[in-house]
Amino acid sequence: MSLLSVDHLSIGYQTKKGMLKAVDNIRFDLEKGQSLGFVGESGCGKTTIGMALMGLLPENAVILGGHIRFQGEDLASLTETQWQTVRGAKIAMIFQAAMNALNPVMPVNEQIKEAIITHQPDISKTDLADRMKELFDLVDIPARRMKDYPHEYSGGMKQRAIIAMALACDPALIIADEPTTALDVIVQDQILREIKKVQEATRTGLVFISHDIAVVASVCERICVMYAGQIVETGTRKEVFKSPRHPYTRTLLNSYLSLDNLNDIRVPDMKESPDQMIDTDECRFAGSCAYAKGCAGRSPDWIDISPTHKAFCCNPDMIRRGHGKS
Amino acid sequence: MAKPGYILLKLVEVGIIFFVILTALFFLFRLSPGDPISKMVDPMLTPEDMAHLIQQMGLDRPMWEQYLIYVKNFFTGHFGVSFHYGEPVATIIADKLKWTLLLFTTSTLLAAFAGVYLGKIAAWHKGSRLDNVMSVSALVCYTLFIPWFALLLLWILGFKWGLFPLGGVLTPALWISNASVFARILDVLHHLMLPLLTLFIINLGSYLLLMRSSMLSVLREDYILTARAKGLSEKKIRNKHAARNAALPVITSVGLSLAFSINGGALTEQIFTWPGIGRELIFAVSNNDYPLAQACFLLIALVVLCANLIVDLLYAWLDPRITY
Repeated sequence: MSLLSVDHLSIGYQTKKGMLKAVDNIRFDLEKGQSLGFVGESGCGKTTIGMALMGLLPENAVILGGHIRFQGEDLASLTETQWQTVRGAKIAMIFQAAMNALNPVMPVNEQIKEAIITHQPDISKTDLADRMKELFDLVDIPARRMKDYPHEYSGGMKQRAIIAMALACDPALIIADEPTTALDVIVQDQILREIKKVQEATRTGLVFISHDIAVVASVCERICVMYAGQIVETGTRKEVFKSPRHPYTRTLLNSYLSLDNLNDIRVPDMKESPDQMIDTDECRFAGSCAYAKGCAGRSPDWIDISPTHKAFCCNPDMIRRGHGKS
Repeated sequence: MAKPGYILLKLVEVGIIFFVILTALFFLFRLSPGDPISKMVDPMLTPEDMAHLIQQMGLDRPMWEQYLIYVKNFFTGHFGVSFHYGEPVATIIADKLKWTLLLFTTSTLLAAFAGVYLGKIAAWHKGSRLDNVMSVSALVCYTLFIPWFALLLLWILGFKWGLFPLGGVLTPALWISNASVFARILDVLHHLMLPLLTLFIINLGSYLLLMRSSMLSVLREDYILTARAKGLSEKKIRNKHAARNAALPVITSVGLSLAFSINGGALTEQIFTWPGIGRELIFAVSNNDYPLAQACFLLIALVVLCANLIVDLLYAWLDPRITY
């Protein structure tokens, strides 16, 4: 049994103009101790997936279909009270610390203690103190800074504190939503190492969400590339990076500046994202796709490249042979 | 947290501002038209008597001398004798102040607590029928014209239904007789109800709206999402994480209202014939009763200045981000 198994999940937002399908027929599995990254541009639905896994979707969101099985239990059918026993205890979230993710009027250690006490109300004072010390050690915050207020921390320290908070109850699954986006690259690197180290040490499942493909690649073993609510390519880090097959993945990688393509950055001429109000089976990327030939009116399908590597496209031949050097 | 040095600096600042107010008040009164003697005109008064009175009150001395005497008296705790009552100003103010404090401080505090509590609930159930009813009622309360509303309550509850007395603070007959302390307290409370209700309802609206909007902006903060992600119960999120942050701006407002509550409300006190500072102040100003009016204004200035300082310090204590 997988730790997490998401099956045909679709999530829509009820808007004034109608239903916007933000997540469309998503499938993925995650085993204990594995890490899976979601990458894609803003609005592609990656955060919606994260929020659905936490039961924290906004009020106007509707789960249109599918299942989220976590340790064999279907999360999509939980009530709010049942969710409260899952959140923080079995599934925890690492937020972006740049904003006010920590309450400004509470000392940091109180906020982390709160997470522990909520799920272990009977914990003794000494056990609680031991656990706190352990957590702060784990994320490398000196114990004397425990009682400080969030504004007395640097950005990196705040992010570490948030990681410690997520780890407080030894969750089986951690969801990290853009945890390093607002940090400078050096601190970002430290935090990413921290997350990886902790995840490997605790054998926790990790779902890592970011718009930054380099960040995702440095943390995750497997990657899902998302476009307009759908997963368009999935594979191991090496597969997606070394031989991207889907035209969108190639576009995403090409728009990245690296020493190899310093004089040859091809920021593609992307059209606006497709209108997700329209429910269609047709390829959503066709409008911006450089390889689209006769795709209009056809529905894309999953094409296997290897047992772990798949892409979602109308053009199986092109996907299977790859298309030149990326 | 505020440092002792900052508190000292602030106290010096308060002292300087107060001295400026003290001076401004003195000259403001002397510049205003009319003189105290003409207000107590007795047709029988001879010019010699008038001159004698003026001399007795010290009004024949040069302005600067009057000012120096005024400052000296203030710092030695002599606030003078009321021109009108012929009694020490301090005695008059002490007598009026207790009634004003009883009415205005009580109503401000009650309205603040109720407003914060109801505003919190309204914001939490934003968009629901409960929220709509509370917000609209609060808006109506907030825009009520005090004299109109006071008279309306007085007319219905006091006159038509006879539930409450029409004015004053006590029933003289009861106080002359040997009624028990308990009966006397009950009597004052009975008189207090109607003006208290008026002020409570009017103040409640603004505190409710203030807390509601403050709470709504706090609820959008990321740390509320963090609190949810920890698995906290809704009640804990609302009371421990949201309400505490949302109450901060309300505290400023309450602090200042409390300070201003010592000057009472001229209109309310007039309508309910409540013998407080507000009524007395109007009387003193219109009768050019310099010592009484000056002392009233100085008292208000002092309390407002101190309240500002206290709110400042309180804020630093409640919000760890603020350091002085």
